[in-house]
Amino acid sequence: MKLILKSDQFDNLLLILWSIILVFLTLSLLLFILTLVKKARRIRRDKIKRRYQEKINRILFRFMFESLDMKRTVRIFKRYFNQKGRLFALITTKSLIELHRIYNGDYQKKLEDFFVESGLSEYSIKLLESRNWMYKVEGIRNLSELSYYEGAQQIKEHLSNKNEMVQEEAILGMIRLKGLDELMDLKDMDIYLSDWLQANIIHIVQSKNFNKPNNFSALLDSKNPTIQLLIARMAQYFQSTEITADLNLIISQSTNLKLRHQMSTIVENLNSIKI
Amino acid sequence: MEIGWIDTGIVIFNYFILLFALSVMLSYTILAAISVFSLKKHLKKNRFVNYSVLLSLPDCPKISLIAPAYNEGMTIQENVLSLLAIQYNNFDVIVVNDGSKDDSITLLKESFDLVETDKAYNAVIPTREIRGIYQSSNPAYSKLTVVDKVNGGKADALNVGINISENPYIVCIDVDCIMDKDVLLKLAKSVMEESGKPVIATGGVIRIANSCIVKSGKLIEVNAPENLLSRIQVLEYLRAFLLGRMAWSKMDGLLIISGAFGLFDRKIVQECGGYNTKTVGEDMELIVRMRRYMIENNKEYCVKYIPDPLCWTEAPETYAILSKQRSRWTRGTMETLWIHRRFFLNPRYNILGLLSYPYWLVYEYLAPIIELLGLLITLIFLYFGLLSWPYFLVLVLLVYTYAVFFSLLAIYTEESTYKKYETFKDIFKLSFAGISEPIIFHPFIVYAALRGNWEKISGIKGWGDMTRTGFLKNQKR
Repeated sequence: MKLILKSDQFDNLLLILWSIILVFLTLSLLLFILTLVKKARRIRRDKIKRRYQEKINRILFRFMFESLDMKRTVRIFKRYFNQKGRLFALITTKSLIELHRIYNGDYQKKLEDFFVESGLSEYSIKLLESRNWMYKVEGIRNLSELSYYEGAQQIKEHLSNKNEMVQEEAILGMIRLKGLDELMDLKDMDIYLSDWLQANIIHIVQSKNFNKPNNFSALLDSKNPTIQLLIARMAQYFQSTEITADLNLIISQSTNLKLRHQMSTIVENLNSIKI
Repeated sequence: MEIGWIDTGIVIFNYFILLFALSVMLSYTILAAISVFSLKKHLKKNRFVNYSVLLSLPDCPKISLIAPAYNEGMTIQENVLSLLAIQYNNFDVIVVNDGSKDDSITLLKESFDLVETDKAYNAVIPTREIRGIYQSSNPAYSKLTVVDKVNGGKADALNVGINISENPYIVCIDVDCIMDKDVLLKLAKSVMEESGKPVIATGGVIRIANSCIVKSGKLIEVNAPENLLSRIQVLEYLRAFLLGRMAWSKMDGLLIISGAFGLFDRKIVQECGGYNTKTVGEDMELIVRMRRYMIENNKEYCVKYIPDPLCWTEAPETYAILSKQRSRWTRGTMETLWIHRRFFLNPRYNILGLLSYPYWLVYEYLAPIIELLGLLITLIFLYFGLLSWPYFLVLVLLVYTYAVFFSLLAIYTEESTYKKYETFKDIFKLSFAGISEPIIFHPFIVYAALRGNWEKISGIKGWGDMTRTGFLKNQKR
């Protein structure tokens, strides 16, 4: 080692190592400061969020259950929206969606009207034009959860979006808005409906109390096995025992083991209902 | 001539140590970069997920939670209650009392109104003798099954649970872990969202719960531990789970799913022969064997990983217990690597053979041995007056600053993602742990790993007593 120490090469090596140490030290310090800044920002943002949420809750409560009329509510909302920006819109829409899920009838209609009058529907439509897929998903969810039927066409355009998340949200959005008849449009699509996506679709059917579509068994003509499975699952939900023969036919013809296994279970369940 | 030979040896040694250190740093940095990228993607993707969808679905995947218990009498009642309170529809809880010497089984019988059933036990995986299978007469605990068996170790107890389960998926857990209430929803989603390839296993993140506040089996406040040793382990876990495993998962090279928490396809586990009772690293060994089984039988599969903190466990607070734990981990690694030595640089096993296995061999198993060799040779240099102090100090400082940098990166990543540590005080405490770890903790971990090697060579087996402080002291706060 003593011999190497004497060479210039070794001095250079030491210099390089010292430089790397300096880089690590600087990066460490930077990371530490960034963590503290992030923490401070988060604490501040949480405070702001809480404050906005309180404001929104107050406005919406007065609008829903007291005498605050649409015009005044919209005026108050717009004043805050202009001051506070996107975060305020985001929290308001979230609150609207939550309330929309809880209430029904006139209350639901009131919330939907507010969504339109406040300009939040327009704002959500604009989100669909964003390049960021997360904004697109947010826009689709806002529009479909708050039953903005005028937005259906724009959502439909995203059924063939290259981004899987946007495409899936568009499917869910269209079903929320158009009901199970929308499945006819999906019938010939080459999309993979994962079990998770199917669970979401069935959840929508349950929460919106959709009726069984008229052309139910026609949907089984789909060449897409995931759509066939979805229809079978829905048949189980609607207890449509009349399509067990069609399901048995698919089971006998399909080479897809997973499909056959899952459909057989469903057919067994449907048969037990018959009995 | 003799001097020339010594000089060559010194040069080789110097460059070997330097290159080894640099390769460790480079690999950690690459893994961290992949992890951060994947983590960001995961969080974005899951921002819009509504897990409660599964609560309304009658045919969501059926899961059995299997919890082996050995001398857990102090906390078993509360732990089981906590497991039963998990939000999910299709699940049951199988507690396997592994011949506890305390009053665990009596407590379970009394607390949950257990009555012995005549349910037949089909030992698809061979296990030790079963004393009885119990179910509750109280409908409120209808999801609970308790099995009392002769002591056979954790792996054997888990195998009993696997044999008892009738569900397609099993989640193997430590009974003293605290689970997030939506843990099964997240695990089920991982199984359901996969397109095409069946999911044979899903791993999750384990976090340290020391000094956290627990109430009724639920974590209600996360704090950085008061005890420095466990605080350093928080950092260790953050680095491993946030900056390491996520990357291995992304590259499909995950070789371990922690024993404290993991979901498996029951049928595949049974076809593979269940947990290996002859190793103390049964968690790593099982997942390696499952992957090997799938590859060798040309079956399509995938192993998934959820980076969300879902399971909280208690870390050792004393060096004595930590030493036992880490030497056991080393023995487990040695045993798994030896059993599956066929993986080594074998392209048949894809990334597992070409990257994961060699990585584990060199950077997990051999690293402490290389460190010891480095230290011994340095001492010899020192004795013979051959040590170059400038080079030695630069090398030590290089490794130290990188270690601190990497810990701070883990803290930053945590703050940018899950933000579990609420206060500035926690950040300062964790950062201090990051600064002190390379000096006070790392040498001990190397010692424990070497001890593990020694124990393996000298034929010492078993787990050793793992006394835990328990969450009770925090519950009182």
